[in-house]
Amino acid sequence: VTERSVWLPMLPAKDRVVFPGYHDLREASADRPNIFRENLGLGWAIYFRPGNFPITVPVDRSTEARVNREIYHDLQENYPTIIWAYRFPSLKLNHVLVIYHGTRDASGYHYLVYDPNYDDHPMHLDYDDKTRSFRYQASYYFKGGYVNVRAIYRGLVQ
Amino acid sequence: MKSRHVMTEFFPMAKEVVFIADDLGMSGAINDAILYAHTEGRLGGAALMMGQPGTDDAVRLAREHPRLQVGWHLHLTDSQPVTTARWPWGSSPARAGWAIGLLPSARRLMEAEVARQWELFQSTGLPCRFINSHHHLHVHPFVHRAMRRVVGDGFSGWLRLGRPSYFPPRGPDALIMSFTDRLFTARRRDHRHPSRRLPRISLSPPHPHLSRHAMPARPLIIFTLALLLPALAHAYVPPPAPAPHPLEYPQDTYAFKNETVWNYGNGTVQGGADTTKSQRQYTRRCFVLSRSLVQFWKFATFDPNGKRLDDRQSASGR
Repeated sequence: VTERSVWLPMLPAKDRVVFPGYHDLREASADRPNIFRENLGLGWAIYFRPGNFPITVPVDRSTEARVNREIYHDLQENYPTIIWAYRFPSLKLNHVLVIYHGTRDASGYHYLVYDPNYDDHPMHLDYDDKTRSFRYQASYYFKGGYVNVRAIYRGLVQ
Repeated sequence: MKSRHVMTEFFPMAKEVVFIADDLGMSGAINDAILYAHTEGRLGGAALMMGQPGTDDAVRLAREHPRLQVGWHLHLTDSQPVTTARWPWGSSPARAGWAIGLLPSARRLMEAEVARQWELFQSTGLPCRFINSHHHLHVHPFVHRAMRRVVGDGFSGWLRLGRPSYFPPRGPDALIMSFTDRLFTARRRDHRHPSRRLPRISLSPPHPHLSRHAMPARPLIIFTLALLLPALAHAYVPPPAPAPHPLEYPQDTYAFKNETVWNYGNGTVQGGADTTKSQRQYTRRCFVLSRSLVQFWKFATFDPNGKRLDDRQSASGR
């Protein structure tokens, strides 16, 4: 499963890798966590990812607005977005999340995200239309507040 | 003649080898050395500096030797200026480049010098076969623009825009100018005049500096990639069709989590790293978990009615 590039199109049901005996990923990973941990991928390898270089390029508000539109559009089509949330050059946050649900109201956009640092509840990421910026909720490892957001794993250099 | 054919065969990009001496007019001794090399058949051209101690002598020599092709050697540093007593930036080409780039007063002085030196060159009546500059400052974007404006489109000679080699090619000046020239020279290549070549005057192997004139514009490729990669990094292609089902929490997520390398409290790092085996083994995996989560959602399916695989089968995905 993990050898196939994540940006490739979704496979039809008949072509998918079947994991028998489980209802879903949560159940399978709870039953055999070490099998998953040992085979999902190496941690150090991500330091050499081709898509890492854009972190050095400052993110402007219009880019954030565009990324937000893309995220929301994809969610309408049932597609999650993997994002890189960071505060570079500050090292207060350097984290990757998966946005899987979003709503919109007068104040902006409100997203539910999968945070790999938590396995018991989703987290909240908001986009403010007025400031055209993302804000991530407080957690044990981040005080909360403004973050740069970049969509990643949409292609080889992302 | 035979060696020339052999060279053209094996070095197709080195058809033109041009030997030009710079600094004609800088001093009487330099003039004599250039003239000696020319009369011995080793030198085809020389670049004339205006307003220098040996300029008048050089002009006289050039008139007496019409086979010596003369070009204009613009100078903006390490020389005697023609519109002021001395260069405010001294003899450093790097300082000259930064000053011209950043200071309007320096830019005005540069423009006045370019115009006046070209005027003086034309007043000699010598045909200008080519243009280059002292320490290659004409590749500076402001200098290049001013020079083209002064010379005009009617100029039929050639302009040296190869990759410059600095003298001496070391120290911070050389490093800075090497970088800026890679950038600017590539951008200026398109403006080279087609009749930029001098007659072939030597059968010696091509000088590495001159041979680079005809090589693919490597700096241009680097420059293009530098612009292209950020664009690719933001490239977005909308999904062709809606996915049959969304990713859902918690069933499509993992039952374990990534562990942090550092100890945290209230959102900040507390103390140092704690990576003892007994406590934290699965760290730095936020990229891995997020990516693989979507991979499972896209490429895997679960069959609760099937027989569970053993560990090896599960790991191989078969």
